[in-house]
Amino acid sequence: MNKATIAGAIALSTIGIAVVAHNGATGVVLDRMNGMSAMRDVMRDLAPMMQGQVPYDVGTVQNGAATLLEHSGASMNRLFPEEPVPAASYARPAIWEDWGSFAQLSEELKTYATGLAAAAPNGLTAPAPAATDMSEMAAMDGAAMQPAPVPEPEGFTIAELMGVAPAVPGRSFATDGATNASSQATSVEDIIAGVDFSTMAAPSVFEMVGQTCAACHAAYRNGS
Amino acid sequence: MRGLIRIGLGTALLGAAFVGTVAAWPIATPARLGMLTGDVERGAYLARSSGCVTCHTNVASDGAALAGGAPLETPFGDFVPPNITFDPDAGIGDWSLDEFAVALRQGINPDGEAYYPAFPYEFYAEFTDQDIADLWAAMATVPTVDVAAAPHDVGFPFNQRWGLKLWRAAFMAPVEMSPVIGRSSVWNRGQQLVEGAAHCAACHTSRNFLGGLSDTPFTGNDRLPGGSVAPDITPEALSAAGWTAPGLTYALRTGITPTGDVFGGSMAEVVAEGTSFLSDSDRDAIAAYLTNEADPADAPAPSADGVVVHSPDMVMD
Repeated sequence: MNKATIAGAIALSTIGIAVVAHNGATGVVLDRMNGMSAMRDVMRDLAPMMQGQVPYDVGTVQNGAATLLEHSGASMNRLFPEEPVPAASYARPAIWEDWGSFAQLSEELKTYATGLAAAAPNGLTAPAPAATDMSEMAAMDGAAMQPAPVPEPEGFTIAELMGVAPAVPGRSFATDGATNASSQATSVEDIIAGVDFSTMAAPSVFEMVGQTCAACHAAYRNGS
Repeated sequence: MRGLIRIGLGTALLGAAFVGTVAAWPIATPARLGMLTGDVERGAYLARSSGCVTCHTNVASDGAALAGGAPLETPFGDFVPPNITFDPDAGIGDWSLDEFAVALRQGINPDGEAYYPAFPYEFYAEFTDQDIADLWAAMATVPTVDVAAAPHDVGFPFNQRWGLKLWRAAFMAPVEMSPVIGRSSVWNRGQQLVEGAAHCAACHTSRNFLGGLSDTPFTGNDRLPGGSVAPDITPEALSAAGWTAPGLTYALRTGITPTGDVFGGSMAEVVAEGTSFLSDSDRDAIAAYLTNEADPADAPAPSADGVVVHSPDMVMD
């Protein structure tokens, strides 16, 4: 048996162990697998809608947001009791070594899930800002009363590109509802705190959900 | 006995002479960029799209921009991306533009030492003089940091930099690109980004036991620094996995894949700190090149004189 054969056997065994480990999951491991799968399915189903590839449906988006909400925050944290994890697990020990950051991401996901439900009625574009001055309203003709087109996201600043200033999560984030907050904020957390999701386009909030998932997967999930 | 001693001494002398010869072997070709003036905006976009900012900034530790990146854990040791702010002692503030060009395109520092291939200079080999000047101008806008990054933690024999000259002779493969007439300008732009600045092959191509890239590009690498894996991204593999050009474009912006999964591992960082900063047209171009889907019938072909890498018409969102 040459080295390649042995290495192949080891690799296949490792994969086999991983498959068995997950197919045979029980208890809290099974629960969190199911939770992750449910959220993955939401992302899979909503992504084409957020790109305008299939008709947008408010109810579907709100149902999806409800599923994300159900599996995030404290609900998610409960599914990660500190315990030894087998090498085949997707979960990294870093979850428990850095529990505060993990829990913060979980809460962030909950915030964005709530935000997605709030933004869902807006559809693919952010609503035009409400006029606050009666004279402005009087000046509007019929055409001007139509929802204003959402401006194209502006480019990143030099400071953002060079990493000197924090980039706002999702470029569209700064252009549909959070402009004022972002101009004053000094960190992403500050920016999130100042957001009114109900003024944002649903795809912008959906992307924030994705960014939170990615941040968590990068730090706390094995593989890619 | 006396014969053995003579043989031993002779071997030692020959070895020392070999090492000395290799160490003295000049490998840099001088660059002369003259008084080129850089465009800060283009340079900043290029610094982001080429991974300079991502690699040389330790985002996870809230490190200052370009002040040194997170260590790359490899089988050869831990490589620490250095401070490349313009501090004259801790960074590269005492470099000339010409020295910067040699470092970036040839992988050689101002002292004539070769860089480890953890620095993907092979992919920057075709950066134009203007690209270099633009990058330089953009980097000059970043506040200096007077603390040097930690040194590499690499054991013997890989800590012998002179040996990198042998590595270069055996494995170095500077990227070579030509525009393909008959493919759209979008596809050709994708080629420039994928094969060059974005250096996708640095992760998605496997490496041999000494870190040289294999000759089957983009077929995947399951031994990335930090234990991450990079899948096969050849057109055939992408198609088999359900990827389309629009799906890939969306994933490069959001990290959300067609299955609903969201990128983790190194790719999450690539999206968050790299491709999410690109223009929509550049993400489209990367996707068009990687999926190699047929160009639209009315797609414009590259101009007769070819497509200039990082041309001035490259715009930000």
